[in-house]
Amino acid sequence: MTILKKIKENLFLVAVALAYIIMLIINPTMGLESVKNSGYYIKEMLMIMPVIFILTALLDLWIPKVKIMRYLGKDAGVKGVFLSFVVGSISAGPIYAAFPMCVMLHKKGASIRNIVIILSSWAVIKVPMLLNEAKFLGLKFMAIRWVLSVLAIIVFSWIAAKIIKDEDLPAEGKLKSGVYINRDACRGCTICSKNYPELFEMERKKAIVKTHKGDSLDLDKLQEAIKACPVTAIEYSEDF
Amino acid sequence: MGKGMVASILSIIFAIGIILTLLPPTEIAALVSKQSILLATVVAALFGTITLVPAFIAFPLVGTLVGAGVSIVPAVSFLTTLTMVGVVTFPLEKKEFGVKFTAVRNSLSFLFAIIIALVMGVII
Repeated sequence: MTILKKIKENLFLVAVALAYIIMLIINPTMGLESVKNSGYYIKEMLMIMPVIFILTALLDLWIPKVKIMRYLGKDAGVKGVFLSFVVGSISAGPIYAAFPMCVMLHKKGASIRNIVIILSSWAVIKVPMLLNEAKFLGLKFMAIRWVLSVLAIIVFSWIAAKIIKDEDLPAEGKLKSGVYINRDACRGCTICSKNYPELFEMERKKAIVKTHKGDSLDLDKLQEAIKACPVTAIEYSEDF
Repeated sequence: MGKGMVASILSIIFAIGIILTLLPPTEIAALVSKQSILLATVVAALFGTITLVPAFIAFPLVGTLVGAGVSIVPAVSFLTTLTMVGVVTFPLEKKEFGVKFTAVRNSLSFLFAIIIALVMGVII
């Protein structure tokens, strides 16, 4: 699947490059205009990126995400709803980066409703992005859209939880004992293999678990590695 | 992650550059204002659903469009479905959460994106 995705991504890149070449030949003025248009967005992106990165890192530092995640179960009620919003809106990255984390949370007992809230708030109300929105569309626009989005998420997560049952989610039995890496989620950042080289290594740009004896694990180091993984791709269960 | 992501973001930006040259924002605004607001909103939401533009590019893009006179309502529905609903990410989500969860979450998000947009049109 990753190879197919690569080809698809590159296909798009090739198509765009071709379009520019054709345009520069047929109509150089329009070609240059396109380059100028793109330049504007690249400039805006480069200006906002550092701010987003810093804010995300700070929020991550200030808000103890791991502690919060313990309180997302079915009985958590209003508190669970609120905390789900917090987890979703302080995180960085596109929505698909949230999938593996939410699957893990569900396995650990988080309710369907709270997972829907995390995914949705991850998508639309990321705090660092609000700055970006206010800059281009105005503070009032941002504030109203934020309030409406929160209200909408509260309502439709409730509806979703009425329709979807816990059994509808697959892979309940997939939880293996020991250390497990979700290879679809792994971005190959090599943080785990640097933090805990005795257990993790890189293979074809993805992290893998080295063969090890169950009792040889350094649990502190492992927990550090799990926490440090930016896409929460490492799982560990000591049961079985 | 690094190189592939930069390449795909840059190709999205350059694609936007070309589209905006062929179809300038003012013309998009004229085109949108000719439609009924509901149709424009639904079409904008569909556009947001099938495209995968990172939010930090989407905001300046929508800023440009609104600045050129595109109504706020379709702009909001585009912004919301862009990040919340994904045809491209559907297979990935389905694999992790199953068909039912994915279908329900995406359709509810789509529906509410339009509701949010319409309510915003009333307030602003």
